[in-house]
Amino acid sequence: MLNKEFRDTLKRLGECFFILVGVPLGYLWDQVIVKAGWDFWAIFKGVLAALVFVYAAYAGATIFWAEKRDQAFEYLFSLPVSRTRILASKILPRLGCLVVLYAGLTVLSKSPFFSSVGLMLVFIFLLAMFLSLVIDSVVIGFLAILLLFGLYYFTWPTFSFVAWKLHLIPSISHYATIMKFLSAVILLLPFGAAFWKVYSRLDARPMNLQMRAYYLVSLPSLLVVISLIMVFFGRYLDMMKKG
Amino acid sequence: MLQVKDLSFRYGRHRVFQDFRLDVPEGQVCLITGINGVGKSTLLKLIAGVLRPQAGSINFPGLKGQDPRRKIGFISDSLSLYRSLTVGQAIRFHQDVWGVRTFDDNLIRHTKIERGQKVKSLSAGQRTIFHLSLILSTEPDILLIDEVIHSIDAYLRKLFLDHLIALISRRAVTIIMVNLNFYDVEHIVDRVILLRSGSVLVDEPIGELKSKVKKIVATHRPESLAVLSSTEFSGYSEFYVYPYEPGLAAGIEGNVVDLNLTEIISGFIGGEYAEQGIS
Repeated sequence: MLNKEFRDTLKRLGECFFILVGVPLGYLWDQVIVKAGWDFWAIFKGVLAALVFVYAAYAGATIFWAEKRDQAFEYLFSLPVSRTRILASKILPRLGCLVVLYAGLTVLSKSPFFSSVGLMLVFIFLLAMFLSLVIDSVVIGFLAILLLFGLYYFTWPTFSFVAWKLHLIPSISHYATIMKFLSAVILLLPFGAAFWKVYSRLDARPMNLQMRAYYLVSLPSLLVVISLIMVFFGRYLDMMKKG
Repeated sequence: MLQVKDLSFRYGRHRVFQDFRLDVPEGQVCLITGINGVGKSTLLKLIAGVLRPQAGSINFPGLKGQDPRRKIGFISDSLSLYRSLTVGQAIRFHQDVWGVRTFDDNLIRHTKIERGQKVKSLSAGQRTIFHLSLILSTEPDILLIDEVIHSIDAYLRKLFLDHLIALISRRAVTIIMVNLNFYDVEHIVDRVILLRSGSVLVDEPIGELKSKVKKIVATHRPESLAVLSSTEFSGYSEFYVYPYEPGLAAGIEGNVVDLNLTEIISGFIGGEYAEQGIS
């Protein structure tokens, strides 16, 4: 089972990183025709970094792609394996691939910026995976991930502000990585809980008949999170204005 | 042994089963039939663990303490497999999951299936035979076969059924099959279950069913017997009766005709459609 998932992971990786072929072609185009003096390695690293993020979303969103495309859910669920083992065998190769990509990116960049990239990659991967049960469209999936990723940038300053107000941290800028981690967890929780609730009972019925629990768990929790962020982020902005 | 107790299942708002019960003893070959949409395939999927009941339970008393799916072989009507894998990869995947290393190539060789071929490139018949080979490699105690036999040609059908017969003769395998082509399976079936709106309308051993369902060719309706369905011809009619009792049929003018399984099921299903106003 793990072998098949590893093969699938490499296939998705190949599909995603095929775009990299365009970089030397673009460079050649610049050298021969445009002559704008492109820096090959800078462009290569930029495209690679962007692709790693795209891959994180793609790997998560396509976690059940083989089953959906091959209509293999009936076969998969008839196998004597637990849902946990199925999920673990799907997550492990994809996460492993992300770790390798992240390591490569960190080595290439030699930049402290990449210290928090790992967290973001895992956040995007898990979010895409949690959303993959309800969203089939690639475009809608990417938009949803972008929206929630945007929300993350409101969440963690809000978290820092609340923690500072509660005297848990000495200043807003302290423990930023921990605040980012907690914010990611808070945003992932409603979708993770909804995903697990549906996934652990998932069977071969049409997907749309099984998603009620997903919406019942994820939407109210997300609304609560967004409401709290709106309240505290407003206060945080007020405080920043007052200096 | 398989026990279905108070099973309830619905697709959204559409109720398929409510407090459904069924016992199938070890080694029995059971044919489940009924009109379209009555829940035949759904029942197999529930037994296979592919669908989960909303209430009730499906128990396998002989398989206590282990995942029953380990002893079940299920061929769904959609022939669900990873179609993007090659035959060889699909075999290895199946073997890995079950932890077996044996696979008899004999059956797939008959159908000219190559290990390097993609599963999606196989014809429906080849895929059925391949699925059967996969399942047989794990030596299941319970075989669930959903309406796949009718979709394969005469040669592959014979091959499929010959392997089933060989399996039954070798060990006590319980087989539950959903079928709309009764001619091919009549000689291996022990018991016939006819479903109607998620409940059992008829549940008889095949021998008894054959003795209880008769066709009476007569000019008048046999009032002393329960008529399932009838067909009118010029000057006479054919009446499918159940239960047929020789004592009650004594005064009837007409010929009593023995029926094969196809005709028996047609009689029942004709009655179902007649009740729904479709003739």
